[in-house]
Amino acid sequence: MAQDIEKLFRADKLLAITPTWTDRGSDLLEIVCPLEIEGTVVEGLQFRLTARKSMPDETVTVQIEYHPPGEVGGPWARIEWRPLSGHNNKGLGPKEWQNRLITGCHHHPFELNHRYASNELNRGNLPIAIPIESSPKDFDALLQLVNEEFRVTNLQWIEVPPWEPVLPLE
Amino acid sequence: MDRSATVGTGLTSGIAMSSADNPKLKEIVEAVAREIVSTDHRAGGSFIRTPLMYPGGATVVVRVDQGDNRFFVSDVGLGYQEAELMGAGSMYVKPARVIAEEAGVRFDNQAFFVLEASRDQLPGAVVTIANCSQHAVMRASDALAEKTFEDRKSRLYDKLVGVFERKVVKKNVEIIGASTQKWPIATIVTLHGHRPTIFEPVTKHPNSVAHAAMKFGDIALLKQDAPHRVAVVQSKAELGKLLTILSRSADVIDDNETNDRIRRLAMAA
Repeated sequence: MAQDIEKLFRADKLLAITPTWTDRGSDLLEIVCPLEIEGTVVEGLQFRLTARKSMPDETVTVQIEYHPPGEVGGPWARIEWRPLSGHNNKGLGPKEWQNRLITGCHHHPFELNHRYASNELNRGNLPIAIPIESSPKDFDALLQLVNEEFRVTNLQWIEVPPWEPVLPLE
Repeated sequence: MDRSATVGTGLTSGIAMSSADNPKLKEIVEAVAREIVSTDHRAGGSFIRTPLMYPGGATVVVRVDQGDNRFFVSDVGLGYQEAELMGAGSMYVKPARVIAEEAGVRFDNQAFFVLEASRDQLPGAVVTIANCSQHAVMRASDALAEKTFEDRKSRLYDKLVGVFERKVVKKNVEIIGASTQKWPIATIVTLHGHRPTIFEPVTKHPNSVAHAAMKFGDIALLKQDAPHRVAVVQSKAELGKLLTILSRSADVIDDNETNDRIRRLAMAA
């Protein structure tokens, strides 16, 4: 199984259907899309993208997740662009990243979480994150980063989230 | 004054020094307090980043909106979103409703909120909402862990039914150990002319191994009446030294063991 998930994560992947934004209520927008590898839509492998309707050009989260047949599964890697929440690595991961409180854009890399927290990886958690030093300047740049890190190659299908910014009251 | 003598730990006086003697330390502590609680004013609202964490390490954030001399405080569904990202979204709402009721706040199936707080009530409301949001995600996370283990038990049963006849495989049985403690057992295979064989899933978490070792040890003390015991793990290699503990009172096999070997284990009993 360990070899399978590494192999799946490192493979080139495609969004298997045209992704459309869903309004989940409470300001939450979401895309969930199955992923295809070499012509096969892999059972349980998904791409998830969330945004907040009232907050354009920020608080977008992207992750690859795997829910194998008969199992609950969870996320393998996540990128958080201009998030509201910070992240605390607690005492996990490489020494230089332990107990780091990260604010701003960050990435929960598959390699670090698989290596240092594989227990947590299958329990829905990605406890180790590292800052993204050069924050993508806009949504398209974010998708480019996701392409590089997650190897999902047809992200141009994804439309900009249907943001509805709230005008400040005077 | 030699403070290290007072402390009695052999620490150097530099470490034992209080902030009264070390204004630099005072500055550092003040700065850390500002780092762990911070504010963020964006187009979408004013947010307080609290020191609380969700199980995955994300910090709990609360939004504050102002009306006429009253404030609206909410986690804006961020706890629910965190649970969804974990894969535990469907396990969030039920405990969240209970948590909201116990805390005297509201919950609208995604977000915790206090509808109206006065300025005096605002700090308490922020902390309460943050706690509720964190608590609900922790409860969802626990439910997810439980479901994961239940799924493994189901898959083990299905596998054994594929290897043996259904009538010889029983699931969710109880065995009384030598101590008279009743132990829940995931699956047991009873072949004609052989002792029964327990097949029990065990995770690599130390608590799971300790519990299984305790259970198997008590059952093993039944001696000639003891069923044969087989611990089923995801990977023997990943257990490390815990494998030594587990193997003292049970055979240990991987989840993906061949049917042939499983059959031979049951027939060796």
